[in-house]
Amino acid sequence: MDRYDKKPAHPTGTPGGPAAKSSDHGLAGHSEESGLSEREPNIKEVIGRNLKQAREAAELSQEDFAERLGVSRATLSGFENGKVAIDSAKLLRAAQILGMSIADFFKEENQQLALLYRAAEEIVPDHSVRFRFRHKCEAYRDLEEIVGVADSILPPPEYKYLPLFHSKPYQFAVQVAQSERERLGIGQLDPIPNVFRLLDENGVRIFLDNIPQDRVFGLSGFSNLYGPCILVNLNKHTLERNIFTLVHEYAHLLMHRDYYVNPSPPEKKDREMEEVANCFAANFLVPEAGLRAALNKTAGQKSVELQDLVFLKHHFKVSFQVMVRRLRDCGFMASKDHDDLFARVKTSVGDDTKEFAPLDVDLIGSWRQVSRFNYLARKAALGEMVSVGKLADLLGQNLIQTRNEIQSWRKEMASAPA
Amino acid sequence: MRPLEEGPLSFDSNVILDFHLTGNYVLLERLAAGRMLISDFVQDELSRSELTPLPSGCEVVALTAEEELDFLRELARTYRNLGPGELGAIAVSKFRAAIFVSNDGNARTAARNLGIELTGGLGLLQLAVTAGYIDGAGAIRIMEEMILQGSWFSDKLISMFRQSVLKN
Repeated sequence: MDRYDKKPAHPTGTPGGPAAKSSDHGLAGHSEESGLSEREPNIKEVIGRNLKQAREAAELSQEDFAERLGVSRATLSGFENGKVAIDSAKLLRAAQILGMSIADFFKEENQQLALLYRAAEEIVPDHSVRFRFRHKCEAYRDLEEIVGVADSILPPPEYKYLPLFHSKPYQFAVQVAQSERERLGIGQLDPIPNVFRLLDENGVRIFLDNIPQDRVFGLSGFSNLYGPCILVNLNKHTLERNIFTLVHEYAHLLMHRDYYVNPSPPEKKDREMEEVANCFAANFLVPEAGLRAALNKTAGQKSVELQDLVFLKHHFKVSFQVMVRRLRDCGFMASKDHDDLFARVKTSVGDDTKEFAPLDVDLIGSWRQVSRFNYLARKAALGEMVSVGKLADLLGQNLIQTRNEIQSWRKEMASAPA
Repeated sequence: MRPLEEGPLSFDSNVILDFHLTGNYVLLERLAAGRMLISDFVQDELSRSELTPLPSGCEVVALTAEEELDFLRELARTYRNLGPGELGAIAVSKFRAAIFVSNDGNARTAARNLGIELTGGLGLLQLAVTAGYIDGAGAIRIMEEMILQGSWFSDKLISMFRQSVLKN
């Protein structure tokens, strides 16, 4: 039937633009037109380089990787050096072992994505987490390019701490938090209704994942191509912690951009840098002026009681721990009262995967409905800019999940007024 | 252009899923008996979608030659909006001179631009009617089930298909 369905060919052949030059197989080639450019690496060399980089990033020896791939070490070496062609079956196996997409092996340029992270202890996110994060950043960029909106949002500004010009690092973090609140139009009084939505709308690429390493709270990455990217680990963490992690990583992206130099996160974290990021997050989420105004309405001149604290933590959408610390740090609560309250609540709550008087709002769900990434995915699918297979790859889903998602979007549009 | 009854067929994942999800795997196997090629990238996509086993009698094709991988890279570079399965299926069509079987508009556009013969799920259903495996009403029912299972065809194509199979 549809052999007779002569749909006109895509005017350019590809959303990325017309074919530059035909080659034997009828496809555009990045061939040397001037004769002056360097020789383009052949397919074996491209795959080999990417394979080697990925293996090394996964901290796998040639021996181990060759064994898992089902080849000899010499053959693997031949693949990596671009001397021996790898077949698609081995490529698939390598992708499975390394947690990569097939397309990753064909990439000509390897965009570096340097990482920082927030964790409970000195835990470094393992390579699979880093791969997943990187894949999400690449998918976001791919989607932007497919829809034609790449580079349409400016990244947030960079705030550099200069010891000769600025006050102490913590005071600097407070100033940056105030500046950012002004820049983002939220002033110094109001709580942030949905910080996921706020940062997403302002050019931060936010990803949520269930990372098995539950002591890793979040990761952030930055590159000129991918922009500022944050991964928040939902696994076993409260919403309050997710919010704080997001803002903590945002602080790194604002104040520590120079430190995004290494695709592997640092083994040893800089304690002061982490504390500065925490200081920013506390001040950004709970500005002192806003806290004073809220306190005036609740406790008045009386000392802060437990029910006031519950109100305040819900009002500012932070953890109990952050709230009592802010009260103490802003001088609204004596250290002794802070310690007593803290100890009482900690005893009643138990471990730190639980929260006292937890937030009862679906901030993440309501953000997801309007997240930029989801919007771009939907636009690409409904506008037939992307195939189902590609969209599934970008969304990290299987085909059936993606088909169902597209179908629900279509149904929604079909119910729209004509 | 060859008749659809002849020559090898290289499938993308979604057409196989359509037949599988609507309980018409046997019909697909019958239509493509002895000439069903599945790229190993398609096989991978289907296994991620927990679709096992593959249609019986199909041949899983890996790309082994440098020329094939080179083509795949250029294809991926030119058609950045296609997924691995679609790219693999087009590459298999190219090197095995197979008719590309896909419902995806972007994948079909790429194949058409490359001069690769193509058909889709509805083309196979029409073949099933012509071959006498099912009647026109049955073909329309299967198409409707495919749509319920997440497949998408344009209104124009659906209308043409209805007219065509009912005429037969």
